[in-house]
Amino acid sequence: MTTTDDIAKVAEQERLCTLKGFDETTALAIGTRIRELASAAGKSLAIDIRFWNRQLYFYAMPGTSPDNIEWIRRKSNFVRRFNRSSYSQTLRLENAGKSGFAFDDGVDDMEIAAHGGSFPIRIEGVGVVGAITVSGVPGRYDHGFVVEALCEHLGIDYRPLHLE
Amino acid sequence: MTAEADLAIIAEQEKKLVFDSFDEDTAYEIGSTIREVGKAIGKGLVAGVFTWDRTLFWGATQGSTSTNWSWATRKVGLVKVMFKSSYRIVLERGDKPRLLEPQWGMDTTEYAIAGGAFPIRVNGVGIIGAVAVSGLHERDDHEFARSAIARSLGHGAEAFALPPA
Repeated sequence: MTTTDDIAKVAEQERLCTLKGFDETTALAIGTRIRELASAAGKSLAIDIRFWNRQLYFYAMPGTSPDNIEWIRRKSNFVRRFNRSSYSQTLRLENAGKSGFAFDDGVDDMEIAAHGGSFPIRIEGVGVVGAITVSGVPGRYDHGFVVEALCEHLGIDYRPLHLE
Repeated sequence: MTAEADLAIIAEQEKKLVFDSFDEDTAYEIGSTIREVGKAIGKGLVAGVFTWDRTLFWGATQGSTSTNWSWATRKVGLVKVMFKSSYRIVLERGDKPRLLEPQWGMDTTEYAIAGGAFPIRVNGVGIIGAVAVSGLHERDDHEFARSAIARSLGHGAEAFALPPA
């Protein structure tokens, strides 16, 4: 798999993982499912689900630290500003041979991180109303936990969307 | 017209004026309707349509000033936190002072207790933003927002209207 393939696959994940509805109950269900997936994989994650005006779900598994919360904040700010997954930016930068935002992007590194793990909550006919964000393992795998849980929720086969 | 009667109607407005979808086009339609109506009656007002992360529409008519911008955005702030139309909060306050209680910890530069911001509620999601009007009496600001939303939803402009003051 090349970076270009991954970029296409992440775009496909974002296209397919569009929801018809998403409320407090959905947040609890997806947050809980991410926690189960992490437990089964023996990983420690902090999990955050928020709309742009409020947090709907948060859980920090044993083994996480305050640093994970900072990563969640900066990664979800990426989704809020660009309305696509934060891992899509990691891949774009990698593809362009860049290590971070360009100076003239006007992006403050203290506020926004181009690291994988935050994924848009996109509602059909509405737009991006929030983000589901995970921090605890390298960004590519944080991202994977979110997409896997979303696919399950939507009844989509995750296997072809899985990043190697 | 009593506050109790208005409150009952506003509860109905908030319950019935719900969208199945709401995008940039919806925002434009609502915002420009309000602006056109304001212009037609020769009133200086501003109309804003906001989701919690951004402004989708902003329009003003002659006679409005930057203080209307401040009122509109601060009224939206109230909806963002309380999830009710800002005029409903005004009426529910009754005789209490129209001030943010100090113990609420809400900054007066970000929030205002004043009517004119109406929640944008989407089925299956919740309240994703607000439509705000400033420039008229707050009851009319509220009704301008309500009326434009009602029209956008395919109801008449008078659907769930408050009676004339």
